[in-house]
Amino acid sequence: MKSLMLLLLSFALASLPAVANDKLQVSGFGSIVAGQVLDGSGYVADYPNLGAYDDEFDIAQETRMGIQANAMLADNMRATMQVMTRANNEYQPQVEWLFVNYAITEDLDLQAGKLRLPVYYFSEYMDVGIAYPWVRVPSDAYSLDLTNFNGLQLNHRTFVGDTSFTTTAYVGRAYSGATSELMTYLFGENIEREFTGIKGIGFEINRDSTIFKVSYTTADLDETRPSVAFENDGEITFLDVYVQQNFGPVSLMFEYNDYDPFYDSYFISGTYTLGKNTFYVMNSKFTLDFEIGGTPAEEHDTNSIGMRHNLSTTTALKFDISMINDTGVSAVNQDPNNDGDATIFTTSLDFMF
Amino acid sequence: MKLLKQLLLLVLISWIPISFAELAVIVHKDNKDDMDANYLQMIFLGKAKGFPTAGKVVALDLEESAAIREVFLKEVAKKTKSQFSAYWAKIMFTGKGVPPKVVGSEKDMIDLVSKNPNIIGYVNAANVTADVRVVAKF
Repeated sequence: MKSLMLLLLSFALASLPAVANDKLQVSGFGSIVAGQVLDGSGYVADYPNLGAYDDEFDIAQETRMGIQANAMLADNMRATMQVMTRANNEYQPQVEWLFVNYAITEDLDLQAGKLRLPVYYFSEYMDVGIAYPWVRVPSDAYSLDLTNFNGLQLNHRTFVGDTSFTTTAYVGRAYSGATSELMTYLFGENIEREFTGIKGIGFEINRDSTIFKVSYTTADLDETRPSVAFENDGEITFLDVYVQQNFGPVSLMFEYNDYDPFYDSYFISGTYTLGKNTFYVMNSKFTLDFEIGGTPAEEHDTNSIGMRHNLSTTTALKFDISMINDTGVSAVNQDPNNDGDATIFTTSLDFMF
Repeated sequence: MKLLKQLLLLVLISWIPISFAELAVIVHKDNKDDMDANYLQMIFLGKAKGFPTAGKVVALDLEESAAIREVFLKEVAKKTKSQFSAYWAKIMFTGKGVPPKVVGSEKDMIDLVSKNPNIIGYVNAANVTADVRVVAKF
């Protein structure tokens, strides 16, 4: 907590001369999220950071805030640091992004440092609640235990008429503390995972009414766990496809991913915007590739309905009811009755500054 | 009778919705590039980093309270206030770029545009001066 205060103070101080010289810009975002399981034993809302609710009102599972500083080092070079604090990590500040962006040409950027692994469509801003309609990104489909990596990323952008094309290539490695936390929760033992030789490519086509994105990532996984019998070592691949089509106030979104050799997941969602309000429905599903007696060892899907109300252009209030249906052999949410079905109500206030 | 006419006219004028104000997208006088609506949208969404031939581009925005900004959002950015704000949150917090810098008044906008050939901005067409070049009107 003390280090966060120091951090905030240093940002505040640093930003003073920035106003005068335009070299430094500080901004931030956050979400205060509160939820409660209405029926069932528990609900994992955020897999990567292990945010899980039980039948008591809880405001400290998904609540988070991030502060970002951009410093212009030269006309074509920018340093960015984003520090986030999460309630479910006892508000310990953590550096999520720390990189230098070098504009090689007007269309081509090179980023070097700690970055978000851009495998999902919403990967890079899944913490920024104000940027999407739901209370949270679909938890069944956004469960990859690997979120950040250290390495290099090339971004190429171009456009024809009103259609833009973005190509991204990245290389690096990752070892994440949050990773072992999630794995330890799910498997009940201390598991460490290291991803080396991460190589990936993404391609996105974006028009006002149509978005298409595909990404493909490979890496070498080295897992360490006490019960050596089940160690997962070897090559992993992650394929993701995202499609969005807007029809005036209506948007339809679909995303599918295949994490080989572990699982498949997808989500589908529709939103309808009327003035300051956006209403949504969503279905997301997770299926582990490992079966026991013909049934996936872990399988669950979630149906959600909810709404977002824009209080201003930089603040939004959201409400969500989600029902998880657990169909796998071993239950999620560590329910002793081996049934992970649950219904949960969540509300959030999302903001940026 | 004349007074009544003037009054009526005043009432009429005050009834005209703000969006009927004409928007002028402005650049430096030495910048001779022509750009269509799509290109301008790409600039203000940060997707185009340069003018077609006149080099690097720096886009400026007005404060949220500026009436002409509504026309800008509708005609150039083609987004609602909230969509524009969420769009830039996405770009900014993923380290992909920084939103257009906000200037306090249309006068400041014209002043900045007139001094720097890399800058593009917008004002109410009624406020355009001879110091800048208008690339498009909406």
